[in-house]
Amino acid sequence: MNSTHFPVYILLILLITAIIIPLKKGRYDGLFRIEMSIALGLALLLSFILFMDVYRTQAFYYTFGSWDSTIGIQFLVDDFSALMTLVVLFVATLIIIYSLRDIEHEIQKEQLFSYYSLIFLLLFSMIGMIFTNDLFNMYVFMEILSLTSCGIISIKRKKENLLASFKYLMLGAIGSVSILMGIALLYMVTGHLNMLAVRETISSVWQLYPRNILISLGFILTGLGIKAAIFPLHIWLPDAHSNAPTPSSALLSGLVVKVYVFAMGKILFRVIGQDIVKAILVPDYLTYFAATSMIMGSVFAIGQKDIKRLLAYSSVAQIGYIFLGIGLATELGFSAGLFHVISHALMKSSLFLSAGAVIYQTGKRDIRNLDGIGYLMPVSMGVFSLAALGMIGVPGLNGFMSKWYLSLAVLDAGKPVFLLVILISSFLNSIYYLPIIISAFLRDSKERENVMVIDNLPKSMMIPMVILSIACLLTGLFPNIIMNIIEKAVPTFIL
Amino acid sequence: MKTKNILAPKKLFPDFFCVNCVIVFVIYIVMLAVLILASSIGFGFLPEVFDGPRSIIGKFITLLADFKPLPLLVVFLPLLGGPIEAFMGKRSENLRDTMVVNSTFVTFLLILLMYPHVVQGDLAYTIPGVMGYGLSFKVDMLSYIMSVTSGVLWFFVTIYAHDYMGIEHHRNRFYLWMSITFGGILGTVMAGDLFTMFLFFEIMTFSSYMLVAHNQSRESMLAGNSYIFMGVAGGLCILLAMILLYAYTGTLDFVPLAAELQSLGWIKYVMTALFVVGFGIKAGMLPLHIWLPKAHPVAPTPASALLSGILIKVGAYGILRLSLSIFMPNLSEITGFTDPLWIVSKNLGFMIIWMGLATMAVGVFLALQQSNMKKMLAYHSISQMGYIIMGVGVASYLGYKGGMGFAGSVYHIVNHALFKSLLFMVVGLVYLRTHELDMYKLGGLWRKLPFTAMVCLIAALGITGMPGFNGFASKSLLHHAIIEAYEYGHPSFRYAEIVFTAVSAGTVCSFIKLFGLVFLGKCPEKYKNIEGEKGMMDLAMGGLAILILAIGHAPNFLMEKFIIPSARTFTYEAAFIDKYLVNINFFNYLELIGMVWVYALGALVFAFGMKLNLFHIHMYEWLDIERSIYRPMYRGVVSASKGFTNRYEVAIINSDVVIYSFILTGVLFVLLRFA
Amino acid sequence: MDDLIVKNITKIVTPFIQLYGIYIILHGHISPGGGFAGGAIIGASLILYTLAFGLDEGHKLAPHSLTSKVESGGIFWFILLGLVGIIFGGRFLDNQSAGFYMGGLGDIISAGLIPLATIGIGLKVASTMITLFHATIQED
Repeated sequence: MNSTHFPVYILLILLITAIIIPLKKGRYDGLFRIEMSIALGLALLLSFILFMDVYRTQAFYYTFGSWDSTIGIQFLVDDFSALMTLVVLFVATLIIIYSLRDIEHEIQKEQLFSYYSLIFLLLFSMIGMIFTNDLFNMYVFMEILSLTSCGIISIKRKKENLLASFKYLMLGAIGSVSILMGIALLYMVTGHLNMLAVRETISSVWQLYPRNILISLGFILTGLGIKAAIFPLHIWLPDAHSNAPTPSSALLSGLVVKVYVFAMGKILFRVIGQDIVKAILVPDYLTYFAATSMIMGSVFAIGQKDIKRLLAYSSVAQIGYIFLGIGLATELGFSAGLFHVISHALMKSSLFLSAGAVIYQTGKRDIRNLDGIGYLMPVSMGVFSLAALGMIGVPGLNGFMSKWYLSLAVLDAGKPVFLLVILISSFLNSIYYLPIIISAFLRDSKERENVMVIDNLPKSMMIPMVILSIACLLTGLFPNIIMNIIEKAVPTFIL
Repeated sequence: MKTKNILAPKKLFPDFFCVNCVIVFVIYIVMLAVLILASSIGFGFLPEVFDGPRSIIGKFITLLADFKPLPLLVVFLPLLGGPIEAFMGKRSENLRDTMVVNSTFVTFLLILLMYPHVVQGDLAYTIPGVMGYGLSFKVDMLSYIMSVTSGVLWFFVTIYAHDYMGIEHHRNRFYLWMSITFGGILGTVMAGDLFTMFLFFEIMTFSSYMLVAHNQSRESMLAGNSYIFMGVAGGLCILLAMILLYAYTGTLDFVPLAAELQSLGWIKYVMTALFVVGFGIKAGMLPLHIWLPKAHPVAPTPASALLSGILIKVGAYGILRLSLSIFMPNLSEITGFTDPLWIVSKNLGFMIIWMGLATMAVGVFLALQQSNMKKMLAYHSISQMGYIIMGVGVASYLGYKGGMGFAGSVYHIVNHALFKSLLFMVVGLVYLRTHELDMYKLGGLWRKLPFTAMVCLIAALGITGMPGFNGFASKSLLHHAIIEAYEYGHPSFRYAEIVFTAVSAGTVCSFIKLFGLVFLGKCPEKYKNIEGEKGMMDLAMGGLAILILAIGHAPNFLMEKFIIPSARTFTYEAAFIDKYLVNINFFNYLELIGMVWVYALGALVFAFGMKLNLFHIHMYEWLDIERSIYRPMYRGVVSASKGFTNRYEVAIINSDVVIYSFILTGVLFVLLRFA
Repeated sequence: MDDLIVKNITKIVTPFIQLYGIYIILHGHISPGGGFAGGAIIGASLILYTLAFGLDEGHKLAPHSLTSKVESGGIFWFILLGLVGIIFGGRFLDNQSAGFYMGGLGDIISAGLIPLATIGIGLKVASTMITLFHATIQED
C-alpha cells in the first residue's frame, strides 16, 4: 500500500477525533473510551506502516496543495520523523489508555470532554512539528502545542494549577515570540521559509549578512531553550509538571519537551548546517548549558519532597543529557542524544504513571510517607523501581545504554570533562531515587502489615505501565533495534 | 514480627529436607573421595570406570561437558531458579529449602562439568548483539577456581541456612536474592570481557544489598545505605574507566594491552586508579572499606558467610583480572623481566602492595578492639583481604616474575573463603543458641556445643596458618612473595615483611581471644541450659572443616591441578614457575620455625592484652575515616542541595523574565563576537 | 444595557454589518480580507447584538449547541475540501489538479478551492468569537 498520504491521514485522524469529541455531549462511558482507543490505535497502526515503508524505501517530501516547495508547506517524511512519530504515538497511546480511568479522579466530569479534545490536539500539533519542513509551519504548530499544553495543565481547577499554567503560558509566549523573531530575521535575509531552501542559500548569505543570522540564531536558541527547559530557563517546568494531572505530566515530560528538542536539532542542523554551527562555536556553550542542567537539575531534585516535583526536576537533568548529545554537533553525539530522547520518554512516562497510580490508590504524594508501599502496590513500585534503576544507569536497562553512547560520543568529540559530569550526575540521580525504592520495599509501613497483595488498580491503568517498563528493559537489552535505525537516519539528517 | 518457629519440634529425621541434605552430602563426599583417589593414582582409570556398565553416565557427562552454552546455563540456573523458589516458598518452607539446596548442588555439578573444556582452554561462549556490545563468557582456569569456590560455599551455606533462617522473617525474599546473587557472582567471574563483567557486577551489588538490608532494623538500613551508595559509586568509577579504555583502545576484552596503553600518557594512570578504586570498594581495600564492618554484622549469618566468603573476593578478582590482562604485555612482545612494557604493571603493583599492607594492619588492629563476634570477623575479613590484595600487588609489581604472588593470592582466596565462612557459621550457631554476640559475655560453651568448638578450632588454626591446615600453604606463599618483592624490587619492602609477621601474630592473638572467651573457661549461668548442636548445621560446618583439613594435608594438590595451570596461561616466566612453584615443599624447616615464632608472639600479645586490658582502647575520633571523610562528604552534598534548593528555588522561579533577558543578551553577545 | 436608542440602532445596523462581512468573505480571493477578517466582522456583529440586548438574548440568537456545531463543521468542511485532492490522486489541499473549477481571473467563482475554504473559515471564526465572548462575560 502506498503510504504517501499517511502523514496527512494520521494528522487528520487526530484532528477529527479532537473535533468530534466536544460534539458528543453524552456520558463519559465505555463507548466513548472505545472510540478514542480505536482512533488512537488506527493512528498508531498507520504510523507503524509508514515507518516500515520509509525505512525500506527512501524519504519523500509531501507538499500540501502541490504548490512549489518555496511557497507551499512541505512535510519531510524520512526515517527519522517516521521513527519519532511512531515513538510519540506509542507512548501517547499507552498514556491515554492509562488516563481513561485515572482522569475521573482528578478533574471534574464536565471537563473530561475538553480534556480529551485538548490531548488530541496536542498530539496533532506534536506530530505536525515532527514532520514539518517549513519554518513558519513549525511556528504555527508550536503555538498550538503551547496552548494545548497549557490547557491540559489548567484543566484541574485548583489554584496552583491555574498559577502554574499561567506562568507556563507567559513564558511560552515569550519563547514563541522569540522564535518568531528569529524566523523573521532568517526570512529577511534568505527570502525562504522552507528549511531546505534556507539551507541552500545560507552559505552565500553568511558571507553577506553574518550578524543577521547570528542574532536570529540567538533568538531562536533562547526561545527554544525556554520551551525545552534548559537550566536557567526551566522555571516553568516544576510547577507545571507537578501540579498537572498525571497523564498530562507524563505527556508533557515525556513527549512535549522532546519535540522542542527536535525542533532545535532541525534548526541547527538542517537549516543552519553543521559547518556554520561549528564555526561559531555553538557546541561549546550549548554543552555548558547542558552540563549545568544535568547537575543543577539533580541538585534541586534532591531537595524535593513531593514525588511529582522530584520527577519534574529529574526531567530537567535528563534534558540536559539530551542537549549534551545534540550540542556536540557530531554524528555520534546526535545519535546518542536521540537514543536518550526515546529512552527517557519510556522511562519518564513509566515513572509518572506509577507515581500517579500510587496517588490514585493511596493519595500519598510526599516521599516521606511512602514506607512499605511496595507491599501494597507491588506492580506500580516494581515499574517505578525498574525505571528508576534505568535512570541511575544500571546495565540491562536503556538508561545505561544511553549513558554509554553519550560518553563515547563525548570522547569522540574530544571533550572528556563532560564524562565526569555525566557520572557525577548519575550518582546524584541515585541519591534521590534509591531512598524511594528502599523505603517502599524495605521499611515497615505504619498502617498495615507487610504482606504482599496486588495493586487495587483497574487493568487499563496497570497494563500500560507494565508495557512501558518492559519496553525499557527490551531497549536496554537490545538497543541495536533502535540504534541501527538512528544511525541510518542521522547522516541524512545532518546533511 | 512473627517468626515461624521451626526450631521447636523435636523430631529429627522425618523431615525430608534433612534426608535430602544427607543424601546430597554423601554424594558430595563420594565425589570428593573419588577425585582424591583418582588424582593420586592418576586419572587413567577413570575412563574404564565410565566405559563399563556406567557408560551411559559417561556419555551423558560428555554430552553436557560439550554443551556449548554451558556457562550461560550455569549463570542462569540460579538467576531463574530464585524466583521459582521464592514462589514455592509460599506453599512450603521445606520444599523451598530443598529446592534451593538441590539447585545449588546441580549448579555446582555443572560447574565441575566444565573442567574438561577449561583444561583444554576453549570454553568460551558469546551472544552477539545483546546490549549493543554482546555478552561473552570465557572460563579459564582462574575463573574456574573462583566459580568452584563459590559453588562449594553456596552449597554448604544453603544447607546451613535452612536451620538458621528460622529466626528471620521474610525468608522467601532472602532465598530469592541469595540465588540471584549467586547467578551474579558466577556471571562476574565467568565473564569474557569487561562489559559482561560490569553487567553482572551491578546485578550482584544490587542483589547483595537486599541481603544486607534484610533485617530492616535501623542498623541494617544504615549499613545498607552505606553499602549501596558506595557500591553505586564504585560501579560508576568502573564504568568511567571502561569508557576511557574503550574509547582509547577500542576493545573491552581481557587481552594483553600493555603495548597499546604505553602510548597513552597520563590517561592510563587515571584508568588504573579508577579501576582500583571501583573494585577496591567491593574488596574492602583500605580507605574504601567502611561499609564492610557495618554490613557484614547486620546481615543474617548465611549472608555474612557469603559476603565475607566470596563477594569481597570478587573485588580482588577484578583487580587481579585487570592486572593480568589489560596491564600485562603479550608474551611475544617482551624480552624479559626488565622490559619497559612492564612499567604500568610495576607502578600499579607498588601502590597496591602498600595499600594491601595498610589494609592488613588496620584490619587486625581494629579486630582486636571488637567485642562483637561478627564485627571482629568482619574486620578480619578486611585484614585477610589485605593479604590477598598484597599478593595481587606483588603479582603485578614483579611482572614477569610475579608467579609467586599470583599463586599466593589465588590460594588465599580459596582458603579464606573456606575458613571465614566456617567461622561465620560457628558464630551464627552460637548466636542461634544464646542470642548473644558479645564474646566477653560468653564462656565455656564447649560442653554444650562440642562439635562446634572442634570445628571452630579447625577454622581458627586454618586462618592463623598452622601447618597441617590450609592457611599455612597460602600464607607461606604470600610470605615468599613479599620477600621476593624486596629482593627483586624496592628496598622499602624490607619493612613490609615485618608488618606481615606482625599482622599474622595479631591474627593469632585475636583467635586465641575468640576461642578462649567463647568456648573455654567458665560458663555463665544463663547459658548452662541451652540446646545442643543442630544436625544440618553441623553437616555444613563439617563439610567445610573436612575441606580445610584435606587442603591442609595436601597443599600441593590445589597447586598442581589448578593454580599452576592457571598461572601458565598468563605472561609469567615459565622457568620461574617451574623452579619455585612446581612441587614446592611447603613443610620445609624454615617455614615451620617461622610459624612457631608467630604463634609465640601472638600468645604473648594476648597475655599482655588481657592483663593490661589493651583490647578496649578507643581510638581518637578523627582517625575514624568514616566520620572524618565520608559522612561529611555525604552530608555535605545532601545538605548543600537542600539548602540551595530552599533558598534559590523560589527566587529563580520568580525571576523568570529577568533570567530570560539575561540569557538572551548573553547568548547574543557571545554569538555576535563572530560577526 | 437597556438603552432604547442602542437597541434600535443595533436592530437596523446589524444586517448591514453582516452583509459587509459576507462580502469580504466571498471576495477573499480577489481583494484583501478573506475568511479571518470577514468572520471577525460577522462575529463583531453578533457581539454587538449581545451587548445591546443582554446575555440571554445573545444566548437565544447563538446558542452553544449551534456554535459548537458550526465550529466543528467549519473544520470538517475544510478537511473535506482537502481530501478531495487526495481522492483525485494528488496531494492534500490540491487545488487545480483536484479538479476544482478555476474560472477566470477576477471572477467571484474562481480559484477553485479558495472561496469554499474561506466560507468555512469565516463561519468558524465568527462562531469562535461569539463563543469566547459569551464564555468571558458569563459570570458563574
